[in-house]
Amino acid sequence: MKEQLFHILQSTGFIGPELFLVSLFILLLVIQIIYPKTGQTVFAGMSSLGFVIYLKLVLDQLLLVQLEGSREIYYEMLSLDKWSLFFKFLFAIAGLVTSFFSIVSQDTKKMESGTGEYNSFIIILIAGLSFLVMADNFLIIYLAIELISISSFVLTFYGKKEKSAEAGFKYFIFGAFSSALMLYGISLVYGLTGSLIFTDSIFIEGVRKAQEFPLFLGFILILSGFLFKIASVPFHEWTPDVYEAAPYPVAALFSIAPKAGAMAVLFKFSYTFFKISPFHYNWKVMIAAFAILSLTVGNFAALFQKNAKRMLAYSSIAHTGFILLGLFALNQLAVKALMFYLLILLLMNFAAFLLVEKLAGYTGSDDISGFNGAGRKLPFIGTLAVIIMISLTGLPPTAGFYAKFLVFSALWESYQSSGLTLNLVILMAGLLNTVLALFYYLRIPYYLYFRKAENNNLILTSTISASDIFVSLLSIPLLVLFFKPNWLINLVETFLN
Amino acid sequence: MIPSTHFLIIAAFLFSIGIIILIIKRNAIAALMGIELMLNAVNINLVVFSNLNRQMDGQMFVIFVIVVAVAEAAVGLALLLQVYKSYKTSDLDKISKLKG
Repeated sequence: MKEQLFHILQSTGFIGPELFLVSLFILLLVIQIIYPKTGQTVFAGMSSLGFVIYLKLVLDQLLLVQLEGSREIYYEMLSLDKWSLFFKFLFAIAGLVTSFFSIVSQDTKKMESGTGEYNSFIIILIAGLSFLVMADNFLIIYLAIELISISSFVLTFYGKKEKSAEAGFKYFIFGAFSSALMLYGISLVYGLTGSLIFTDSIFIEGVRKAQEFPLFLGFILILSGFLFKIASVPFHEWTPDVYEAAPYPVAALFSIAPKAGAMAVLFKFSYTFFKISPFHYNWKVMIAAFAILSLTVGNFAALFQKNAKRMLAYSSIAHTGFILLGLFALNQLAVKALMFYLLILLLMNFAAFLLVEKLAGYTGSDDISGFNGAGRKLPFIGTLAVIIMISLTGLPPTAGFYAKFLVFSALWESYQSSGLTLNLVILMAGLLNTVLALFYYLRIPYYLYFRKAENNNLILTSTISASDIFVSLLSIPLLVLFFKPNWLINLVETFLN
Repeated sequence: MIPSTHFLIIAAFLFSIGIIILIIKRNAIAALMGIELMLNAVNINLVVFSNLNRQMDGQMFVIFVIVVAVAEAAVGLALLLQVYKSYKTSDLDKISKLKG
């Protein structure tokens, strides 16, 4: 008994960053109650400061892990290793950028009340994600996913438009449904293997011995919960509605953070037990099918979108497809590709959402056709738009090219080592989809430069605002990292070896 | 003693009813009830398996599921109230301004 208490106390020292986020969450809520009229700048400033401290704590943990190696805490409930620390690093940056975005965004700047709640939900979303990537136990996975989902439902609602409540409720129905599916899967897998800890030897032995069909069914159901979080086809229906109705910073956060968290767990699953499970091949085929479906459906649907935010939503579905291609390849290079891709995606998506918001602010609508001719009048924003859209497509000279290139090389390597035709077919399908993506991403620069402006009511300001600096800070690295991709690859490798 | 397969079949049956309710019922409150039913089917499953495996893990899991389900339902109902304020209906088919 005494030993157990000692272990628990000792483990508490290793979840410092998460404890910090949770206490910040409570602090912001209390301040909100005492001073209900406090503006967005104060709270978003506080939470961005909080994310800087969180980043510092995560980097301290990295030093500790580099010195003493990874460790299991709370009786194999959580594990602290470099893999989870990379994702916590990513979430810290995502949270920081979201907080800055909330300060400059028109959607959230004008919020009269509830700013403290809004920021505290972002904080608790990040806390849930960092528990998710550390999880070694299905119970923690479930709790973390629920923490993320519930705060996402509420954050969607902060768009404060009529549509926001609708989108939030739709998101809620889909989310609750998919988490119920995931739970049923967890119960089946628990029953068949006799353990909830999926890194445990009992569990892995159970996977080897269990009957194939019920176990496969259980894993498919668990997978559906994750596919919902990463917005992969066929669990993607909520994505465009939520992205359209949610405030811009929240939509940008949704397009990267929950995706990264769920992918971290899927990779962990694949490395711990799918490789030894009896249905290994079927599993791979299924992942490939979801990847290709997400790519194709995302890209084709994006072609026909009129609203820029909905287009970005479908583009994020297509990006999910690319990340899933990495999960299919599942070799050393694929892991590196995933990490690189997520970091680039973070820059690209935040930059794209900021840009769309700026354009919508100038032209008064977030329809792509509303941007007619704005590029000539706003040369600075127009240039950045070209860079960001080329990067999202994955063409040189931007870092988006390297991200896609790494995924394809991982696929090529897996084709070389396995010799399966399936891998080659998937590689070809991925390449074709990149070409398809060109059509809709370049539509924004096309409308900006090659269409005559119909309305001359552009609200022009000659001063450089804070959001101009912010969007260029996010998009200049996209150019720089094309010429110096090694900087980012070195960063990724510190989290690998 | 009742064999545990009986419980598992009941759980699977409840789970399917939950999914069917979610698909065919057009009222938002009924959809919430369908989700509750699915979660309770999971609870039965977890308790049965926990008993079969001679462990407490599954039963502990059930308590967490019950608590989280309550929290989720609270958020869901709050969102539904906001939807009702602007649309004056809780029919899921009529709550559809977002399209594209």
